[in-house]
Amino acid sequence: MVKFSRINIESEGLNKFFSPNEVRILQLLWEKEKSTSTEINECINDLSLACIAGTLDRLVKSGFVERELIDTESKIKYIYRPAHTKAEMGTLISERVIESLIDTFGDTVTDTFGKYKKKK
Amino acid sequence: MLEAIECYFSCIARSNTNFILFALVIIALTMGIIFLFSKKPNHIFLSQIVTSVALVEGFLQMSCPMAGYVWIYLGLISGAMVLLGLVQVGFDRHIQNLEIEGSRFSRNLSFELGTDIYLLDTQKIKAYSYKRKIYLSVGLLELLEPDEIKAVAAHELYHVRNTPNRFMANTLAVASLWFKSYRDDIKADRFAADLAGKENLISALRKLEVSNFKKRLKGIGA
Repeated sequence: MVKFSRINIESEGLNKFFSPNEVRILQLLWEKEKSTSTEINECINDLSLACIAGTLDRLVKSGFVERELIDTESKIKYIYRPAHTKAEMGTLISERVIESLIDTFGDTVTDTFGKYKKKK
Repeated sequence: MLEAIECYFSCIARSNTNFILFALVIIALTMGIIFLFSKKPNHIFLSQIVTSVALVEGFLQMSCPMAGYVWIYLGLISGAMVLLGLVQVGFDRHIQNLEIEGSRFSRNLSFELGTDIYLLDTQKIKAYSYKRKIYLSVGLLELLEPDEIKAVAAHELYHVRNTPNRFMANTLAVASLWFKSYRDDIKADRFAADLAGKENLISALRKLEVSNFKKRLKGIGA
């Protein structure tokens, strides 16, 4: 899940919630739907394979990316897929952020969101 | 420091039970010499145990005022040993969490190489020999061609076969997190080049982007 300590409201776009390398890999996976590490490295060729490997491990551990082990007698590799669509991830992150806001400020938060809904 | 050493020896000379210490030292030395000829891991292990007992026995015989310093040194050494042990426990868990069991690929690879290969569940590029087992990561196996994998496995096999015993293997494995033993690596490289072919080893080392690439090339005479 998104680490609260890592959220930075001042950054642009998804960089608010992820590191720049994580964002690039996530966006690529959303675009391609599934991919191997070598394919990712071909598309993001300014990063080293070691750097991409570390980032992929981290994304899998935090549950944003799923990987499947292809394990036959002659070949072994991981295939990566995004665990959520971009919209699903939006919901997930919003829920966590709103929950924490409600924890701190109570009903004021839901009232504020009511106003936004009316405007829409 | 020098005074402490002087005190150590004078205390031992004055002690009534110093013959036990001498006996232990002689046993440890004999086991060490036997190991040089037999190359059996158990012999050097026994020698290590007797040496540790002799060390403690020696410190127990301290009686002069400088002995306090000697105890402090002993404390520092045991502290370091405990720390090393803790790091090892941590590393054990780390590897246990990552190990993939029942992989078809690794079963096939183990059969081909004639030695057991264990897999690590990570995209990172890792190859370890730890506790007399060879671990290769999925990331490494994805990156290398079969002949290059053979070269890396042979390199690790050298480490597995040529570390005197389990105790030493563990300590070395933990210590090597900080101190890389180039000399051992170069011997292992030579072994791997003989077994799997020089060009396979070189291309594997290049792909793995090892930090001491040029030195390693020189080591295998390329």
